[in-house]
Amino acid sequence: MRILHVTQGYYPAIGGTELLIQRVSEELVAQFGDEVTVFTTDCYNGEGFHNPGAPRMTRGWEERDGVRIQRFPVLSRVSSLVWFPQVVAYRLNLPLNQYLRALYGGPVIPGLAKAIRRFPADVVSASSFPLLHMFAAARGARQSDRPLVLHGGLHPEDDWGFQRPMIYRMIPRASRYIANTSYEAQYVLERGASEQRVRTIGVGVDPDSYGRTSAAEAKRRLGVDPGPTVGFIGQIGGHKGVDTLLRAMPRVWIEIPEARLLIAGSRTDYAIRIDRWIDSWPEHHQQQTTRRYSFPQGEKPWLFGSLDVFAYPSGFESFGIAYLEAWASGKPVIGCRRGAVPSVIEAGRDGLLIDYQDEDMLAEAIIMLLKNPDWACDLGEAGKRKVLMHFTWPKVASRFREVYQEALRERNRPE
Amino acid sequence: MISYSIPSDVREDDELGRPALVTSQGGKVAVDQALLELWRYADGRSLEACLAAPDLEAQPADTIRAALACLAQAGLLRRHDKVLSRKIPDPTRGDLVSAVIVAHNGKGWLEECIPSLLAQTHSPLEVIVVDNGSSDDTMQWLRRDYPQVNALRLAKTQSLAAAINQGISNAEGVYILLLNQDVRLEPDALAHMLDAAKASVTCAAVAAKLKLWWAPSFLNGLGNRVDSTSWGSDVGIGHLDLGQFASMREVPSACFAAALIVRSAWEEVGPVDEGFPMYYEDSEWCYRARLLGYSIAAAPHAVVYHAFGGREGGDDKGLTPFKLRNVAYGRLRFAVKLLQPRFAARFLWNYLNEDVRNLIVAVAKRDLGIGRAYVHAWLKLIRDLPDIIPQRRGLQARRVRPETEVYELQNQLPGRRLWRSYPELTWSRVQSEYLSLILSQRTSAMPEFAVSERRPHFLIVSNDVVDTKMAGPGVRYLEMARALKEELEVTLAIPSATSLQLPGLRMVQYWEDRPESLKLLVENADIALISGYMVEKFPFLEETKRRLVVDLYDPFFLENLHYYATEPTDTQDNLNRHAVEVTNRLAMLGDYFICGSERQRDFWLGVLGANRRINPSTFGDDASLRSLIDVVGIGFPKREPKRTPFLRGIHPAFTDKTPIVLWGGGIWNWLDPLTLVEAWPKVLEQYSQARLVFLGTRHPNPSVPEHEMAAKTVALAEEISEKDETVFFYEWLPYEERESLLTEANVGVTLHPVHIETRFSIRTRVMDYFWARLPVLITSGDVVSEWVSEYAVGKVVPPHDTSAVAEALCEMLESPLASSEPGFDALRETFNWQRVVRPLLEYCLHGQHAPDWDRPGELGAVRLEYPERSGTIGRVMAVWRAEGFIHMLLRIPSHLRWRLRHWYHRLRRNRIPQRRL
Repeated sequence: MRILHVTQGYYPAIGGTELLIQRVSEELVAQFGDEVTVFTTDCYNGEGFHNPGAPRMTRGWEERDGVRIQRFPVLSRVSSLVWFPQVVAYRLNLPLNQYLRALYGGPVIPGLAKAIRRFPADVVSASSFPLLHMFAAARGARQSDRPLVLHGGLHPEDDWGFQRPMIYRMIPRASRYIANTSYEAQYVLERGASEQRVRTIGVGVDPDSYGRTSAAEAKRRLGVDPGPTVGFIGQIGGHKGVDTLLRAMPRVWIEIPEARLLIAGSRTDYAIRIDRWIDSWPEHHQQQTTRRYSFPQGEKPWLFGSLDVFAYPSGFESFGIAYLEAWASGKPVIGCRRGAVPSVIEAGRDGLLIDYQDEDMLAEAIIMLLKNPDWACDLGEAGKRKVLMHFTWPKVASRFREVYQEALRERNRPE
Repeated sequence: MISYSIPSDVREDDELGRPALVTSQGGKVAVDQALLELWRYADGRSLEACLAAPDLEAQPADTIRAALACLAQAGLLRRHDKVLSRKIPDPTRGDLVSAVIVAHNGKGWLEECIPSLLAQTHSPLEVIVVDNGSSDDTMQWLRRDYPQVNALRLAKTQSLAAAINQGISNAEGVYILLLNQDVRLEPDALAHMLDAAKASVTCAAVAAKLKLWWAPSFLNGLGNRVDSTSWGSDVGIGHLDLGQFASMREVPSACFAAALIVRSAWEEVGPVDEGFPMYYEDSEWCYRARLLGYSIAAAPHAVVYHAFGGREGGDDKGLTPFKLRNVAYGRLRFAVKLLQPRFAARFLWNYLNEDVRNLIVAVAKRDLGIGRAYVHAWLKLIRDLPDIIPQRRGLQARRVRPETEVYELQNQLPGRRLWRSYPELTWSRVQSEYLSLILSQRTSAMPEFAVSERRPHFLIVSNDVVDTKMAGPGVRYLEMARALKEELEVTLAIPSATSLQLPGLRMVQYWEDRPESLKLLVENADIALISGYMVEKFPFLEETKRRLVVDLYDPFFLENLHYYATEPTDTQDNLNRHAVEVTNRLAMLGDYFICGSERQRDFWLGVLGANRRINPSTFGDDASLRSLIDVVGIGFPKREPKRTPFLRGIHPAFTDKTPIVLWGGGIWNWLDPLTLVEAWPKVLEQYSQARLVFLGTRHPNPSVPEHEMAAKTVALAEEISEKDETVFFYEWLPYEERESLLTEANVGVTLHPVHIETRFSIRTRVMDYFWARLPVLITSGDVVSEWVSEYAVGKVVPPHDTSAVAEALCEMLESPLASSEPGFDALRETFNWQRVVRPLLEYCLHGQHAPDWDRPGELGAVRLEYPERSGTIGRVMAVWRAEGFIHMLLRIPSHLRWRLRHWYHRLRRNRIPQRRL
């Protein structure tokens, strides 16, 4: 099958969708011998779509692990011009403000729709909303009369990004829509998508990379002191709930004074606030806290391996791949009862759910897991089992392929 | 439901010096004791029964499922469930295929091989049998019975490679199917091999999935490989085939026992090297093809049965010197001819090390034949070098692939799984290998793991200790959790730490002084079971949106009347008011209620009625109200109590013949142990050796204060001078020791005065007596005493009647009831936990919130709500913010229409009264 993936970024760009499309593309090539081409941007992250000063990758064609990639230049200057108008329009909810937001969000890629139209693919798959290339992909596929599969990655809690009727008008027109979670599937169904066309798949992880060492060994290797460790590994941002965790920890230390905290993730502006916050703690609590910003990818399994509890009380997740990574390491997870997370974590079966920004409940969940290690271990093992059964990259890729085949069959079916 | 039976022709075998099972085909599979026990136990039982097997309680359910699945897939157990018949594809026509079989005295094998070949779904097919100097009548038989077969006779036995080459030189097919004489093909095997060959333009050969003739669920190999150490081996040999190889597309080499060769590749790669006397010729050809840029495809659906080791397999005598010489030479020739210098040096160095080591061992054992074989192999290599080197030069000049690329493929291939020459299936192999394959769905779907839907998560909150020492409530919740864990995801929340660990059952501690701990558990469950004063200790229960089951098995406000009977009246009044208030709160709270007996149910229906829970909604939902409140009493564990000596032969006062009378629970204020102690001297008059044992003077939960009755009983025993002589007291015993005591006792006793608490309560200890088949002496008046009479398993005496107790005890010791008494069996049937919890299970699986439950819906999706604003402008702003400007404009016409209608109706309403006036 000749598959064209249209996406906002591709390795070495970092992000959930970027990783998903990379791994699915590679698996499709390796497992099924498909010809997979990726049309993407030259940006490392979303900032490049509206910041002309952001770093860029080399444009043009390249090949990586059997996947052909074409990187298109992005007109970020156009997007940067509409920053103020879109803010005003959004605040006042003026007519057409969704278009201004879309233009600001970008990426504006001249000629993308035409390139898609001309590219000889059997199926066009685009991910993810609310970015503009999705609309270019839809236009290109429609003009060349090829099946279009949309992978949304919706975060409905993000009002600015996803409260745009143009998105929900487009979804029913696609041959298939791939949702990350049942929550997202339900969300698009309520907004007019047809049940026959919506499929839920999710993301994946490489379980073999995780859970190979004991927590003690991982701690030793990372130079972290032994002792029960609570960890947050992910994007350091306020919306990811790291602040809730910092508010919860003093309560945890009242019950379990020897508990340790590990915070790891890419260094962001928010990380500076986190540093200030931690620096305001008493000396001994500071010493019980380890920060690892912008760590090498190879260290990730060790970081997860060193934890006893993975606390990731994020309020904005279209799936939450970090939960899969923790489960693959056999660790119990704590997430929020918000958005898609309750459809990923099965409360009480493989993790615990707390209310969003409820630090008391989070503290209690951490205490309960640390004080009931057998139970914590059970939850982690149940998660690991779920990962092995449903969320490995080969399985995710083969489910993507089934959806592509469905779309293709439907398109080829005689009227 | 899945059930199992042992096929009639599968049996145990003890000739291997370890447990083994003989397959229906006559082969042997080495197993271990644990798997053998399960195999025996599963015969005639269902999956559920196997999961609850007494000896396997410590094993995770998934491992048991995997072990059963493996035994069934291995053909050692017959699985009775929905059977899917294997679909054989329709016959197809295509390119001519020439099957070439090299036979040597193989008439017996060919009698099965050729019919299976002629039954292939693919046609046209040309069959060539090369008779390699046989001394039997193979040729005549072939010409007579299979005239369509092209039979070539070689007058003198030649190397296998030479015979293959001659066969192929006579073949006309586009594809050549090479077969050993001792194989049998599935009808679609050739069709699958052809599909695999056509799937890749670089395909030179296709390896069929060879399975063991005599144990056809185990792999003989899917292709083979040559490594830098040891002998070449078949890929996956000895593995149980669960479908895990179905996605394999390429292998390092095809075994010529059943391989399809693409004619065009054959012509490019050249014939089989006749320099190999036997062995390694197939690997050499395939690796040679790969060096030239071809690939070897796997056809995991092309099933061919190969008589590896003969008809019954297990030829573990090792290699004969003749075979050994050929094998040792084969691998040397392979390395020298094919490999680049760096690889060749490494391979040859390793082979040299191995051969020298084996040579020394052989000489030390005076096995000179073996020693000579190694020497001959190396000498032959040196002798043949002038012949090999030109071939090597020609090949290396044509090679297009480096070794690193060729050898990369075999890094992840499965290894050998044989014990001697037999396939091995053991508990640890199931656990470490097959279970993870099944769980990660890399096998075919196993019915044992079929899960139709997500099981509800049921949280049982015990208000009492659950540990090795526990009282009635702890036992109740533990056994309830055990009985439900196969159908539901069960978590048992306990107010204290526990040392118990039960597979498949999650136990978690919560803290009464930190209500948030229980809140977290309840909010992370679908349904929670609560009881008693929890509603007061954990006020969040009145707010939660989870479904709540209230356990009313303990009528605590009746119990309190006794418990606090010695307190001042005002205090009693307050305590009673409080208990009633808590009871009423519970009655308001539950979505479903469970109680201990039908008698209790009537009582609690009154309480529910008084709290308006019997109302049109609940009545309309189910007029019997069974979906609101039902009986989930006490049951027995499914297993037999363990008989381990506890007192007899251990304590100096207890011999094997000592009659033991047991008070098998706590000495609570609302019971009557004093009558028993008072009667005891009379019993001793007749049975001076009798001993009375009280199990619990203190509650296992340390926070429960000592009951006054316990002190009184001890004092009375001292008063009659029998304490520690014939009457013994224990504070409390761990669960297992208690079990031992139950099996050692001759009579179990519980006595109580007649009062309201005993009318409605159920004594857990009496259920324990029933379980241990212990005759019961009990006071009349409660529901359990009625069961004792009904099932004739003991004696019922009037309350406070010392003589009656003494007389009954003497009678029971004089003519003890046999444990085989039918009453005990009937009780077991009625009161097994699986049966007792059925109404609760039904509710958890299919129930909903009570119909009169008026709390808001489930926590779930976040929905936008418009802020409440007063005035038209405020509402307009709210719509604008929430839905946008366009939607706000679109709403104006409908709003105006609504306004007009509203005015119209108001006018009409005003007019009507005016007209009447």
